[in-house]
Parts: sequence; structure tokens; C-alpha cells
Amino acid sequence: MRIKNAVRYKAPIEMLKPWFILMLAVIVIAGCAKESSEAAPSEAKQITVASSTDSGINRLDAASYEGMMQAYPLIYDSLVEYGEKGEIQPALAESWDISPDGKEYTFHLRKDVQFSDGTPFNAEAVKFSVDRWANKPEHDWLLTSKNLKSVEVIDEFTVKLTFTKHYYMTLAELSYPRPFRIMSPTSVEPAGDPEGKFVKAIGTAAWVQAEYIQDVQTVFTPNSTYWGDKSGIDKLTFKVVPDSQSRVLAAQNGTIDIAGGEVSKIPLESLSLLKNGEKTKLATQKGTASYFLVVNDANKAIADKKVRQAINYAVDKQSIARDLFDGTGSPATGILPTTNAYVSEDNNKGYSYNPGMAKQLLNEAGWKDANGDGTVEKEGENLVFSLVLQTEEYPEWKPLAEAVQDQLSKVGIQVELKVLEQASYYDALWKNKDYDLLIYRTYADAFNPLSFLMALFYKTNEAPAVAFGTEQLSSLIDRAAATLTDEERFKAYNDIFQLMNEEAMSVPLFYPDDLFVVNNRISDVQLGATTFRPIVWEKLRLDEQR
Amino acid sequence: MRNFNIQRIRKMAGAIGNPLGNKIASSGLYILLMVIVVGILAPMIAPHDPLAVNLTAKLLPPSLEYPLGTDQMGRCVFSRIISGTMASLVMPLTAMALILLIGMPLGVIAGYYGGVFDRIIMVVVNTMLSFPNLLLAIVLTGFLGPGTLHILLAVVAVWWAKYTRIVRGMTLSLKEKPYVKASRGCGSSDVWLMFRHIVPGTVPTVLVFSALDVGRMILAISGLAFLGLGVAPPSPEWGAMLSDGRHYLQTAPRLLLSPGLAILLVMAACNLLGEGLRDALDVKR
Repeated sequence: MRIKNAVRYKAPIEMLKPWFILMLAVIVIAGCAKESSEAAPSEAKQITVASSTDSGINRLDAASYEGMMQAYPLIYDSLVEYGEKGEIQPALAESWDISPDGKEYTFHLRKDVQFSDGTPFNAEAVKFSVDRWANKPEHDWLLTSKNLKSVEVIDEFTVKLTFTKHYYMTLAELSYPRPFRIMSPTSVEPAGDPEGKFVKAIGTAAWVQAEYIQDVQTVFTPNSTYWGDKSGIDKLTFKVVPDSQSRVLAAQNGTIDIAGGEVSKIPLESLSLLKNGEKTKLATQKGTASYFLVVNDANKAIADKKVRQAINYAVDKQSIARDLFDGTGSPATGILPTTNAYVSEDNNKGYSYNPGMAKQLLNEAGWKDANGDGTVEKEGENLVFSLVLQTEEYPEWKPLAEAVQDQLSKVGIQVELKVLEQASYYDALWKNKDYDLLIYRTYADAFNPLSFLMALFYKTNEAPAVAFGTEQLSSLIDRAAATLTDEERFKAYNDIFQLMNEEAMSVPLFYPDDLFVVNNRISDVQLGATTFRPIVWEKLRLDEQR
Repeated sequence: MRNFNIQRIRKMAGAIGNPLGNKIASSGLYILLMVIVVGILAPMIAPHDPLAVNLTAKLLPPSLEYPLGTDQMGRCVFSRIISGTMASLVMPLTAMALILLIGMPLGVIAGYYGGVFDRIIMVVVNTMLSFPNLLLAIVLTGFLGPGTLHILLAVVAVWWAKYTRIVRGMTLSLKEKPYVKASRGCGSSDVWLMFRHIVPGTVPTVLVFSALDVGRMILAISGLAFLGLGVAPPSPEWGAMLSDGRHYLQTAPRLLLSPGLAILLVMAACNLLGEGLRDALDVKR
């Protein structure tokens, strides 16, 4: 019997085999990581940035959507850049004039600019880039492309764009990472043909492509002909690290110098490790996006304004920001944080945390907990909402959803969480509306507020709004889009945000900060105004002592 | 006092300490029973409500109040582990029962009658067996969407074929046994033959296989939950807890270790039971 057993014991050991292999792999990987960190110091001043996806530099046509968003501004400049709170700043265009009817934009270009291959930058080059994107169906979501009538070269350094309609977002859209940035006519074959085939990314911006291994890394070196400030470093490497935990480990051991933002999100759980780490520090600034709940008014209960307001009152935004997310953002008030253009403290009041008020509103709407089971009901039916979320892109949405579920349960609203995989999640949001509540995020910086409102809250005769829309809101959005002056725009957006707030068209939850983990040897970290220029790379300096 | 018999007492003691006549199997059985009892009593012995969120008390280290500390939502990990026992154990056991209910009759019928029916069933079975189990289960739950019932369906759908095949093979040999032939000679009906004589003959083997497979199923279901295809949050489930805890590998490894060890314990118990039963019942692999 004993001897027999010895032979038969093989089975459990066999079952453990994968674990042994896994452990071995972990040991080997850990070993590798250590070695490479020791080999890191080198002659050139180089900084390595983690990116979650490949830069796609070999397909980085300025008028395409192929590459990583943050790669475009490294190579290509735009006519104007987007600054804090939507202030438009000069870039390749020194100044610009807008005709009184808002249809003609005349840009006066800088005269001291060259493309990185020596091609002169002038009005003809701008016309080439404009011709490449103008009126193409894939850019129809941007009215700047859709409504463009003509592009004229006035003289060597003056160019005029004429549109069929006035649209105040034109300058902001021109600052987008793509597709409106200016690319060299020599980037395509045959050179200068707007329909030509893209061959190489050549622009006027601070960096040029030096080396590229797909899905491994992309190395940029400073553009020697750049018109702006000279870079403080010799090499900027974007290393592809898709897994967030690996990014944390790599940042800890110094294999990568910078990670974070939208380039490569760092998990909130690891912030305490990185905050005052042996080799790392954090760089943060207030973000322009917010996390919020989309409410589906196809649900009869949610169609009642009082229920929507009750949900808003029931969510403890302070506790979410302070306790759940450890202060890595701010408690939400309105749908957009005040870091955005046209959003102010006054038009962004939101709802305070007031569970008593929430219960009262539910009561007024006819939802009462008569049977004492902790859930309110009306005509014998419990108030139960589904809450849809995804965790691939936003792992922190799961604890967020669980916190919201818990808070709503305290006023008698039962929430069932549905964690969907990314594709089904986006289907639920954009196509089949198969949810009662859904966690989403607003767009960021230059896309706010108009592109974001248009995408989610705009209702037409043909199509309902993606999130929550009323006729009144749509006409207000139309009015905002057609405004000619900043003053009118402020008024229009005041009305929009007040209406959205009063009607409780969404449930704002949290304003996340932009977070970056940075190696201690780097000084002068200046965070950018947009998610596509997250850090002013040229200004980075290395501390010499280390 | 005449009944006093040392041998008998020894036997009784043996029956308590070693009810299956095999120490390995018995230890597995005892661990499983213990886990099940803890699972049933969970609402009474759990120090806290496993779903109660308390954001001001999150990620606390183990203490008297929270024996295994708290998780990222401030919930008591110990309470969640023991409350998760039912989800993590009952589901595989239910799945196993369903699998046997589907797999065994099909196998017996296919083996007993043979012919076209047998061939059709075997084509289906062989097709099912040619896919890796877990992969097919992932595809199915991905298609059906997450949820307890869907997981159950997926696991049953990918696992039943193995048992049909085993039982069919055994039926083929059992139906040639002299006692079966004798019974048929006496005029027993097919149904009587199948249920009285053939099915009991397959039970020991099926028992051994199913004990081993329950372990694998616990792992598979936890694996699906780990991938986010399991029970809806915030219900405690070991695989899902493991998945949540992996973000805290460096800061609070106990969030990963506690559910991991719970899975390991139950898996080991099932394997011990299966291995022990195999020896005790002398079933060949």
C-alpha cells in the first residue's frame, strides 16, 4: 500500500507544476529588472518615459489617428496651442485675425521656423497640411474640417482659412493633438502632394524620431532646428510597458524615470509607495476631467427629476475624494471641474452630501420603505438600479462603484454592479443604452466643454442624446456654439451648467488629479495644460549630483 | 459489561478518525467538512458584515477587531473570506451535481445501446473534449456575460463530456459481465439493468474523478472571477478578492494571501480526498 502510494502521489505534484514555473518566472524577471537598473547610468543625458501603448511613430501622419496621442505634439506643432483654462496661445502662428462674422481666420506665421529636415516653413507648407485634412469624412466630427470652405496663401507668411459657418471652437480644435497639426510637405511621397503616401514623421516641434522598435521603444532626440527653447536633455525614450504593476516596479527600481497621466496610468493603490520613494517623487496638478454617473432616463424612476436629485444628494463626494482616493483629486461639484474653460465656482455648484434630503426627495417622488427591508419601494416594486462599469482602462472605477453602491443603499436605493469588459461597456454607453447608471469620465482640456457636451448631451431630431438630453439643453448648446464673443459664451455656458445642475442630468463623483511619478534625479518637472502634452519635455533637467 | 470489547472501541475510534478507511481521504474529507461548516455558520461567526463599507477604516493591518485586517473598501477580510466560502464552494459542488446528472445518464445510454445514438453522442463529446476547458469557459461566460448562473452554465457545459466518456467506457465493459448477463437472462428490463447493475458499478470511479474535479472547478471558477467574469461585486468570492488584492501586492500582501490560501486549502482537501478515495476504492486511472 505504501509503495503504491508513493507512485500515485505524482498527481498533486504535477498539479503544482504551473506554480513552480510561475515562481521561477517571477524570480527570473525580478533578477532581470535588477540587472538592467544597475546598467542604467550612461554618458548621455537621457530620460525614459513609460507608455502603455506603442507610439506608432512609423504611421504618425499628422492627419491620422494611428499613433499615441502624446506622440503627435512631440513631432508636430500646431498653429495655436491650448493653454490653461482654454486660453489660446500663439505657436506657429504669431498672431491671427478673425473676421467680424467669424468665418475668416487669417494667420500670421512665425518667420524663423524650419522643419527638422531643413524644409522651410511657410504658408505653402500650412496649405499642404490643411489640404491633407480638409473636408475628409473621417474628420467630420470636427467642424473645423467639415465646414472648411477654402485655404488661401496671402503671402509667404500669411494664410487664410474660410469657413461656411462661424464656430467658436475652431482655434481650440486647431490645437488638438491630431489631425490639424502642421506636417512637412516632405513627409509624403511624392513630396508636397496632399494625397501623397506618408513616409516619415517630419515636423517643426522640439523632437525628432531617432530610433524605433515597434512595441518596445521609441527614442526621440532634440530637433536642432527647433524655434523654441533648447532641450535640457539629449534623449527622450518612450518605453512600452503595458502592465501598470510593471510600471510601478520599473519606476521603483529606476528603469523608467517618468510614468503617469494618460501616457501610462499609475495605479492609485501604489501611490503611497511612490510618493516619497527611495528613488521617486510625485508630480501632480488639478486635472480637467471628471468621473461621473451617466443616468438613463429610459428607466421610469430615473425619468423623475426628484429621484435624480436624490441620487446626487446621496453620494458623499467628500468621502470619495478624501477616504477612497486618498486626496488624489477633488470632490466633484458640477459635471466639469473649474480648471476648464467657462466653468466657474458659480455655475458649478452641484449637490452637497445630504442623505436626509435624498430620503425626503424619494419620499416626495412616492418611493417609501414601507416593508422595512431597507430598500424603498413604490407600488410594491423595489428601487433597484444597475450600475455598469469597466475596469480595463479605469481599475479605480470598481472601488468607486462599490462606494457609490454603499452610499445609495443608505438612502434605500439598491444598486447592482455590472462589470463589463471594455467592448461591451462601450456598446452599452454608445449603442444599446443597457444600463440605469453607468460610470464614465468627461473628456479633458481642449475637448471641454463643447466637444464633450456635443458628444454626450446633445439631442437631435433624428437621434437621442447618448447620456441625457432635453430639447432645451440642445438649443442652449447650439447657442453656445454660435456665440461670437467670450462674454456671450460665458452666459451661454452659465445657462447650460445651471440647467444640467437643476435637472440633475448626471451624478458628478470625483475630479481626479493628473498624477505622474518622477525619478528624483529629474528636476524642473513642468506639467502641461493638456493630456496630450502632459509634461513640457524640453524643460526637463537632470540633477547632476546623482 | 459483556459488550465491552476493546476491539470494537478501537474500531469505532477508527471510524471517527478515519471514516473512509484511508487516512488521506479522511483528512481531505474532514478539511472539506470543516470548511463547509464554517461556511454555513458564517453569518453567525463573522465578526463584521462582509459587505459593510467603511472608507475611514480601509487597509487596516490585522487586529483583534479585524483578524485579517480590512480591504481597500474598509471591509473585514476575515468576514469576507468565511462568507465567501459558500460562493466559492457551493457553486463547484452544484456544478458537479449537474454535470453528473447530465453526463452519467448520457454515458450509460450511449454505452448500453450503442449504434447511431452512441455515435452521435460520442461526436459531440469528442468535439467538446478537444477544446481546453478553461478557455471554452472563458469564451462562454464572455458571451453570456458575467453572473453566477452564467458561470455555472459555462462550467457545466465544458465539463460534462468527460463524464459521459468515462461512464460510457465503463458501461461497455460492465454490460458484458456475467452478473449483468444473468440478470438479463432472468428477464430484467433495460432500465432495471442500467440502474440496478451498471450505474452502481461506475460510481467508485466517478466519485474519485469528481472529487478531483471539484478541486479543479474551484480553481476554474476562482480563475474566472479573477478575470472579472465571476459573481457581481461586492459579493465576496475568493477569486474576485484575489483579483482586487493583487493591486496591493507591495503595500498589503495579506489581501492577496488570505483568499489565495483559502483556495489552496480547499483545493488541497479535494485532491487529498480524491487521491485517498482512489486508493481506498482501488480505482485505476
